[in-house]
Amino acid sequence: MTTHPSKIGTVIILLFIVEVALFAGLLFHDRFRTAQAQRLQDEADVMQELRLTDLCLATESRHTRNIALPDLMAPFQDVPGYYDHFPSSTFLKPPKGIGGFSR
Amino acid sequence: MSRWINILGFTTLLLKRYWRSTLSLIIVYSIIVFAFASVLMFIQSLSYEAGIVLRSLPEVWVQRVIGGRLLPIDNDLTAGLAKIRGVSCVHQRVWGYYFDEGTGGVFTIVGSDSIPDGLTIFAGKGLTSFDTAGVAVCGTGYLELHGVSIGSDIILTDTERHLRTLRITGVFTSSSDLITRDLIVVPYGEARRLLGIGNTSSTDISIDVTNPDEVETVVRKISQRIPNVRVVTREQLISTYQSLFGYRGSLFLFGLMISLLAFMILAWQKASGLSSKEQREIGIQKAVGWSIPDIMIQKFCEGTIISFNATLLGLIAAYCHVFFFGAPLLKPFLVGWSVVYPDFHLLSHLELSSIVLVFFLSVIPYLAATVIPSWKAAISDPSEIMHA
Repeated sequence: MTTHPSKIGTVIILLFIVEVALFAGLLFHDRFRTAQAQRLQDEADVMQELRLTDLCLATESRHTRNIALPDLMAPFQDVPGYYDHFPSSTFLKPPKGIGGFSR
Repeated sequence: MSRWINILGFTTLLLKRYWRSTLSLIIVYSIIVFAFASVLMFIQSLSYEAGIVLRSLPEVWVQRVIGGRLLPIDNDLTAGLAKIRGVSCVHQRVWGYYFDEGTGGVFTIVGSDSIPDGLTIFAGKGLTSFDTAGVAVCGTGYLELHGVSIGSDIILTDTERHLRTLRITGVFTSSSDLITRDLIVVPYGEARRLLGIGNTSSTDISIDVTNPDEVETVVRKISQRIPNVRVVTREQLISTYQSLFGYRGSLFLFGLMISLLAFMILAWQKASGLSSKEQREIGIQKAVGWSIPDIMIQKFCEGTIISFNATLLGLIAAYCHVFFFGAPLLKPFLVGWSVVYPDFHLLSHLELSSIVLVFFLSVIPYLAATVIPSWKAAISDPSEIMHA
């Protein structure tokens, strides 16, 4: 039994169209989400009111909790000889000029 | 046109004939695109959100540094800072870390007298300047670890080991976990007691500057007039996060690029070492009258169908993984293994340039890896190919 090429071609083209439509739908769906814009605005308001400088990306240690304004000695302040915090310390890069008083 | 349609028809028949190998190739290909695109989307979403929320912050931050350590800064400095030309507002911040002995978690205590009601990311009653003690607003980290909610009383220990009972009047919802997860917001007086910061000092100072063009001048004046301070600008805060996501993202992408490269080498090897069956096919195609361009078009169609389908499937899967399921495969590398686990929800944001990048890195090398070796086979003599 043979299958006509046009049938398989139609299936492949349909699959392709469905994938493109699905992906485009996902992209544009979020552009029109007002809840997302409202959340961003509210978060910005809270940041402004509380004057928070950092995102809560990791709470393992002080220098990874407040990466933008860290305590200069923070990585080694918890206990003398303490192992470095993992994995956040491994992946977090200190801000530029952290070695000096002014940046 | 009919030539293209006929070649496309022949290609679809070939794909159907070798459907097992085609399907397995598309699955492996999609997984690699999925991993690569997931990292791109994850980093881009965080970077986008950080860029927007950090824009609302004051322009300059001043911290006192003695012997390389941060110390509370004297409130007396406020008047002097406010007199600098261009400064519109000077704000003393009272905040610090609180180790919760019961759970082993570390929370951030922030002093405030103004959390506005009516925010979508907030439930309950906000703090006002009339609240002086005994109340708190918590993020979801404390609520979940202690199993408490609005109206519950919580007990915190101050630096002199006195117990302080606070009533939770409001909570930040989980949608704002990226900024409020570990927060305990209390009135200023309460924050000073809990953190052991006297009435004459603050943790640090934030400064609003009227004209953004004058920020550097204000920073220079502060650095010249006040010794032992670290002055940080908002732009530096933002650039710290942008470079952080770039650095962290690059680490992941570096690893994934190796996978991508390995896949491309595999595809190249497979295509360049065309099996005898495939070589015979090309020989037969040439023997029955196919020209070299016809064979090239056929291989191009085959590669395009496979690579576009795999790339789109990988992108859709990555989008669902990151934005619908919260990137469970990537988040552990970012948030660490702390007690207060930051369980933030990512904002769906994807730039066109990233999609183009994924397609460019995924489709072009694959097409090259399939078309070029086929061209080499196609320019050979048909009888030579069939006897090989």
